[in-house]
Amino acid sequence: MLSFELNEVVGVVEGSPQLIDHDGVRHPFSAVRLENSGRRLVLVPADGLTDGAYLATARVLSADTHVVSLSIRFTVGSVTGLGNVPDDPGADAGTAQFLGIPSKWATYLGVALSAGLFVVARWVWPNVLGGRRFRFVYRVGATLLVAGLVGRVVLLAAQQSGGLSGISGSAVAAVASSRLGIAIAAAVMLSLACGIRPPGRGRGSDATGYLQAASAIVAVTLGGHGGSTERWPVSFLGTGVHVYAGAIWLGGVLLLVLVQEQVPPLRRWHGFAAGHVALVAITGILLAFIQVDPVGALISTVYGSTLTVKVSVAVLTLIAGSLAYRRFSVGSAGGTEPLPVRRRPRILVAEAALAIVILAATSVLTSVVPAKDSYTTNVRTALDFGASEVLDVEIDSVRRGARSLTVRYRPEGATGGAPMPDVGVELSSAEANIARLPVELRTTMSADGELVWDSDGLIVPVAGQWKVTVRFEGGRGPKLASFYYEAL
Amino acid sequence: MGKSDTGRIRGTILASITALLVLSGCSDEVTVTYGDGTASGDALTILVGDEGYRDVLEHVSAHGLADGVEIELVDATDDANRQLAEGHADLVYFQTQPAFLQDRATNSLDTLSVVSEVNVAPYALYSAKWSGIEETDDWVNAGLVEDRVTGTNLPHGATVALADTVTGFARGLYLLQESNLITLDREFGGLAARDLAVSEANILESQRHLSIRRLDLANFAADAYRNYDAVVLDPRTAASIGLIPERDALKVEPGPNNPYARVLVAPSRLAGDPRVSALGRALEGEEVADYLEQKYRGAYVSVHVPRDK
Repeated sequence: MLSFELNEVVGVVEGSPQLIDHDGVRHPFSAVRLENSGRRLVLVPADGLTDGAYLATARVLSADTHVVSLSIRFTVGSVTGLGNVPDDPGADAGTAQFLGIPSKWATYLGVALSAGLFVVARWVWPNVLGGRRFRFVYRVGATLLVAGLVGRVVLLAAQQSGGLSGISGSAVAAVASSRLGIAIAAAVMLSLACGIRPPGRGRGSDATGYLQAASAIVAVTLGGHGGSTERWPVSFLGTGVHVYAGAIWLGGVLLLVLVQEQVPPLRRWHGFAAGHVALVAITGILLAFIQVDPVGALISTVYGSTLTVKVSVAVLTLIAGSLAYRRFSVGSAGGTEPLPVRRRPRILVAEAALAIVILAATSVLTSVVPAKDSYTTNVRTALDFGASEVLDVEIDSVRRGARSLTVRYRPEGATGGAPMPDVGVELSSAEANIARLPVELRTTMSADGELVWDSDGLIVPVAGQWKVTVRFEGGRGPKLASFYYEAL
Repeated sequence: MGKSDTGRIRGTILASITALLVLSGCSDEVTVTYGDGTASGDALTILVGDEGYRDVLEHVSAHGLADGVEIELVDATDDANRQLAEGHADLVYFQTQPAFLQDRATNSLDTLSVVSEVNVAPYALYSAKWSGIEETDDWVNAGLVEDRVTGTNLPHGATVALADTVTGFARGLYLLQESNLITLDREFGGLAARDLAVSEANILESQRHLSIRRLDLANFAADAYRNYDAVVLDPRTAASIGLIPERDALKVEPGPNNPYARVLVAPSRLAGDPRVSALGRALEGEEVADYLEQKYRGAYVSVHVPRDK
């Protein structure tokens, strides 16, 4: 039996599970099923496997319709290596994944040039709303958004069907009926409506413009990591606010260059943009905490390095914006009168170009897996006993084989004569009929003075809900803390 | 930008930040419950065995070793496990681990589990003729050559008597392995039926070329002790012929990882109960190990605190 443990509910893409041996022979499964409320995929080979190397693969569909390829390479019997076990046949799905980057870039640019453009124009420079340039740029933005979103649907359907050439009606229906599919449909329809009759021509068109902006932001949010069920709804709200504030900021920058014929008064825009940049930064930091772990992954993974580039370009954009503000607001009677500039200032063009680079970086970011150098099913928590007595506890929730439970403690201001803190850990589970299971611990001290207690040969015998009880004796009397976790 | 607009925008931003911070705080999936380390509650009713069971719990209670847990001791009968499963008691402490596991399997007492491996009545190797088991070149009973004895360590070719019960014989073999006299095909400590019933067939090597005899040691321990080179006895049988493990044994079964530990058993309804936890910790502690050592001199030893010999 082969088992894939996942950290969110998935569906299996029909026909995707395969078991291939080193000769390329495919072995059938007698059962393919989802367990643990859809978080575990179990594949049962129909026949016993002879000695040799094997590859098991499957594609699953997450709640936000992302398709994820899974694979295990393993050997049976006294095989010393994997030999020439074939590569994952689903690996070329990565091609489709990277084809998605242009569609995402079109989507993001479209959001900035439609939703962002309209909101900034309405709130900061309403005089541009009726102009031809505004309508033209808005229509380009709406068209880009529609093209990007439609492209996204096509790619999702292709991923479910195993390729662009095999797109099936059921795959399209599956995408269309998902949360993301519904949001995309709403955004496409509203964008088409706004493309035909751009906002700025009365209350009705403005209302449609706001609805288009909201639907576009929701669709973009669900299409990125905001659609993940992990840490719901923080990841959704964080991403949503990030998308909204980013669209406003970058939409305003692009409006300055593409719509305004001369440099307008900047004071109002400066305050407006500063607030949204602050939102972008706050939500960006929040999302980084969710998606990046550990900090070293900022360098060692594609996601991390792309994020670093994006932040750097964002800082450059802010510098360019600040320089533009200083240059064009000083000496212009408090920034209330337009400056007589014959051509577009280079600093504004540079700011707009950097904004487009930010959108491109965002397209890559949302197309690659978050920057975690290792994916674990560990449960982590901090036990705060007060007076700086804080223990970090981590336990592997997958119970097969010897499991790892680690307790870390960094004594503060401990002297050489202070007694060694003592830690005891016990597990218990009424479900599993285990009233008490003491955990044998080994103690080590790291070079920087952190005390670490590691479990030694911990076997969690049965799946289910387990209670972890930690007893800490740090010199102020014994302290107890307990929490529950689900052993898979 | 007017003051009202500025205020509205600032308000929106502040509200967004507050919402995010609140939601971040709510995202912690692990809820921790804290306590002060004391275990209050009703007295625990424990069905107990005699020597090495009741007195150990009395010692724990009298010296307040279990964070104030109150206990009420009742003599255990043969069906104590069933009584526990039916809710007539809170804990039982009267049996070894293999005995409990067999009873649980036989009578489907699935809700019961071992919460603490406490102590063990260790088998020990005794000899009236030899005073040690160190490496030696001495031979006896060789047959083809003359006996050659220059020291006092158990010589090659010695005859060792083991109990003729399944458990007694197996524990005797494991003890000989612990003494580096023979090598078995498995380590001491397994709880599977095949581990608990090892026999001559499981001997891979006899480093000391021993002759092993199965004898009814329950009735003929004294004769065996006098007539054979060495004998492996349980502490009660040894005591019946005046032998004290700490003083007389050449080698004593180890406490840690001993599968024949005497165990405290609890029902699943007490899973995570701080009273059970405190009592288990006390029984596994240094104070109980010291108590056993001082009172029983090796006849009962802690499973958790290693002792020499």
